[in-house]
Amino acid sequence: MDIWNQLYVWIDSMLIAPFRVFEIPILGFYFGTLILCIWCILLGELTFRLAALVNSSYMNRLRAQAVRMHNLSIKAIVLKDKDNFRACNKEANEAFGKYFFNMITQGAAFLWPVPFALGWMATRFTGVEFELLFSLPLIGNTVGFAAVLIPMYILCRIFWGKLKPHLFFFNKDPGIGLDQGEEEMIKWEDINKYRGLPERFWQNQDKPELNKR
Amino acid sequence: MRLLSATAAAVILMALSIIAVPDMVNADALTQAILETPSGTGPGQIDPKAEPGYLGIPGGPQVNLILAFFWAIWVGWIFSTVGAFGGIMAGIGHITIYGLGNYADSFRNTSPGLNRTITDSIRVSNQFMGGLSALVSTINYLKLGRLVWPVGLALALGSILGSYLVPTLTAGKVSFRDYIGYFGLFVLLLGCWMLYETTPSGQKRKKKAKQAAQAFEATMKKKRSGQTIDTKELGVKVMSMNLKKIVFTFFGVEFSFNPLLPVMGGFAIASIAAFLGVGGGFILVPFLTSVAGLPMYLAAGTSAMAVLIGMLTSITSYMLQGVMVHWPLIGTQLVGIVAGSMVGPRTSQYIPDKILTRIFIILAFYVGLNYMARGFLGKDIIGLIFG
Repeated sequence: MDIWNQLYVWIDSMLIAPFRVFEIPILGFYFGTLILCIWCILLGELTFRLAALVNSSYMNRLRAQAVRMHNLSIKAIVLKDKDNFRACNKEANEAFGKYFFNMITQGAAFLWPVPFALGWMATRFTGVEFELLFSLPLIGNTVGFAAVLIPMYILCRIFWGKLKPHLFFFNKDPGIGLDQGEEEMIKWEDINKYRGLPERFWQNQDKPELNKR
Repeated sequence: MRLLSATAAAVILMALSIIAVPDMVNADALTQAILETPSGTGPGQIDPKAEPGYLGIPGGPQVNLILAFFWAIWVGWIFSTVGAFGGIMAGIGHITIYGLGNYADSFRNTSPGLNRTITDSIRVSNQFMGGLSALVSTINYLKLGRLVWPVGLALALGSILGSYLVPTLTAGKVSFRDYIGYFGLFVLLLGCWMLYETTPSGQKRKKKAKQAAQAFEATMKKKRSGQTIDTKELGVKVMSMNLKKIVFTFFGVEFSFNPLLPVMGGFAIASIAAFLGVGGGFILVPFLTSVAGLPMYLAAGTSAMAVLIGMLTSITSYMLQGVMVHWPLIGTQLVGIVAGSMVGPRTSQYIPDKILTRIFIILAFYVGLNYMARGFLGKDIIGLIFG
């Protein structure tokens, strides 16, 4: 038996317990799946925070380079300098590309528990089918366990996003988003709101060199 | 109100997901393919008494998840340092490193159905790796609401077409050799592009933009307050629009693009992405910048929408065709990618960019030519050279 099957046996009793809380099978299934989703979200969130903590300075450096070039490109367009807009925008996009691929790894940090959850559910619920209220084209009238877990996970993630700001520890954002960090990005909304480029962006020119990797 | 809209969004997503996932547990296509495979212990045969392996196929390869974890660290390392090549490396893992490609190919003559089923599983696994992870970050850009709707919708239309047609037309029909051949061609083209970027003309083109940006930055440092803008020219204004050309001004500066280009670009990028099982984001962002001249933060959000729609359509379409994946393998690789992304920034500083690029060019040429040779000629490079 390979190592992961062994691991499944160990955690199986813990994961299956919530499915047995209610006597009505379907209720137990929904409750058990909900608890499984909560596990997925907690583990994903903690992994994301760990990765963000370890990588924050590197991510901020990439982000700052993209934001710096983007800000310059906006200044160029404001001065009607099309060529320099193109040059700075190209550089901004190049830097953003690097940042984007790093964000992919952050996505992996959030999502890794879900495939494991699906894999575990397959060992328990393969073959169990849920009848739909009405038949859907291409689907038929039954769906499998994943059709419960995935929507429930998405729903839990949305509610988790709403709940997080009110929770101790989780309410502190790791601050690695494109709009966060030490250098402010010029936003379309700002220009429209102030009917021009706000004064602080003209004055805030001297930033340290952030070209190095 | 926000909670209501979030709930409404969730209900829509639930509906979408219900449509997206029923066939994950539907092993009918696989069972049928196994039944059609001759029984026995030889190559291209299935021994029904053997221990179940990949996708539960009796005698199928036992995917070594420890190896998968370490390979994924490498993939994560690349994602965090080089970028686009990470998705290709994930694909190489599924095809070569875990032995799934050779296993699929062993059924080429005895069971074409099983050959194609395993090939489809490799394609979807690739897409899950890059695509789903990309979704999390793309959703963040969507939340910011910075989209250029006409371009986004044109791209999305093309993406949906490509992401729906390719899986629907090709799932269950692409043999492993066809797949590996085209995958190789894509990697070779990527290698050629990377090589071009190192040539004097490629460098010149890159340097030109960099120097212009630096010169502009220096000029800007001299300029301080007192800059004024004509407030009549704020934002984007569409000047003229027809099927061939959209002319718009962006803060008073005129730009134009052909509206058919985003549709065709979205279609082409999504089709390639869906066929090979790679993400399309890394092609989309430069495409949007060069085609429509969109600023970075608008290009990011707009391409995010197109990638999101394309990925959902593509994965849904594959799932509706009954394609299966090995979930613990996907999960293990995601963990490896996270670990690799933490190692990458700490180690890459010891390897100069130039050396890193050269390593990847050599790798791209070797993998590209080797896969093409295997796919189109039936032999790998070593076999072709030494007979």
